[in-house]
Amino acid sequence: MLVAHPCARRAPLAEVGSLRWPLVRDRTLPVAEGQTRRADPTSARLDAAMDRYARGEDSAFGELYDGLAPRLTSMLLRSTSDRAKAEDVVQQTMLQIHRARGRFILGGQVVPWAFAIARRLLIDQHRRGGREVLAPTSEDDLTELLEAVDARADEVAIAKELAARLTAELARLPENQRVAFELIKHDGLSVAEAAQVLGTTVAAVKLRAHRAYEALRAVLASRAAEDERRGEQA
Amino acid sequence: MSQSAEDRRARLLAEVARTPSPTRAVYNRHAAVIAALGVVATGAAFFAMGGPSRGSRPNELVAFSASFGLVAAVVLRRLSSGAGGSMLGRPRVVLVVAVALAAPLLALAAVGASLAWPGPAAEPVTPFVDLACGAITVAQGALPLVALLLLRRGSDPVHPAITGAALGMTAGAWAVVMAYLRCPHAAMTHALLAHVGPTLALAALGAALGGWLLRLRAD
Repeated sequence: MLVAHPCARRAPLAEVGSLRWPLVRDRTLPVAEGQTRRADPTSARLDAAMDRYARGEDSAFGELYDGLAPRLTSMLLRSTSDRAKAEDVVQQTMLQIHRARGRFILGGQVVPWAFAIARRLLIDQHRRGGREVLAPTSEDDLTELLEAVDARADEVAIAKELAARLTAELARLPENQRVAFELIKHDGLSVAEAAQVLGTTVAAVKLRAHRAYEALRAVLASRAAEDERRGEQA
Repeated sequence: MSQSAEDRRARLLAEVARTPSPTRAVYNRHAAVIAALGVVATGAAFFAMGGPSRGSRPNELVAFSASFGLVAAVVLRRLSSGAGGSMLGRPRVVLVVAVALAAPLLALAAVGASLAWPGPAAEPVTPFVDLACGAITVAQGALPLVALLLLRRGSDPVHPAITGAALGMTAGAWAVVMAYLRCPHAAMTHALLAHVGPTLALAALGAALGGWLLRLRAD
């Protein structure tokens, strides 16, 4: 499912999927080039709120919920078609954070911690619940994408087809590449945060995300080649 | 925000208000109590099982062997306790490599000690002594392992079994230190079988218990 973040609304179609396409919260993509991102002020604010909550300031929990719940829900809805289940997992995640607040270390990072808890709880629910249908790409998501690229009417069909191709390619990727890509691209985590969530190294996440980007860029390149051929024929 | 989202938020905040949870200060006090109990229990077990005994070993040999185990224990403890501001511990590969390398390095130190001090290392040791000493090493490592696991109970959503194995190897390294302090035998095979070998058993025990105790549990 390819859903562009509102921050990326004015990106031209040609740049979608390229290394310069703006990512969430106005950060640019340095993953494939081995650089690190700017610190995310939202994450820093949430870390500070969690620190206050760990110290006993109960009112900070609301701020944490407002900052984390939408991001967690968005992440979970890529893995489950059941919105009620995703929301239930978010509630459970926030309760786990509440119960474990005393463990939160000074200077700790709450966002990767919350993502890892949510992922674990969802995986456990999948195991307990048996069959699970992966969330299909909805028309709403495509519409959001089309709005994001500021498409003209004649570009709608092309963009839809492109989105479908990218989604299909993303689904074909090995899970570790896809998840690394999604955590960075869709959820706005830094490479270091994604590495924590996945329990692996920064280098491994960079490599996985890079491979995912390469696969998606190959799809875009083939599309561009097709367009060129059509143009020549016309 | 839709009405149902507001309802969910209100319900969660009400649930949070009803559910007590320790603040960092309270949790740190509990953790200090558990750590202190672990140290006291381990020390008591060490002295109950005979306490320090040098036998015919020179002080340098005891110091070399024990300090090697101590360095391993401190490094492993540092690796298994987390990294920087991460609430999720070290990457999987770091823990696996640390666990995989610790026992061979401790074995290498045991071999080096027997080569450097060939006299005490030549004294024969019966298989029964090997077995009994190995059992004591496992028992002495089990106490710090339990303390380490209790300190981190239900806290690892990523790789609880691997973290448990790292904690098991940490406890094993502490047990090696105690083994070198209490056991008068310096034979190489004895050191390998009864002092270093049990660290593998403790790592396996840590992995099994860690997968159960450290993993995050849903309500």
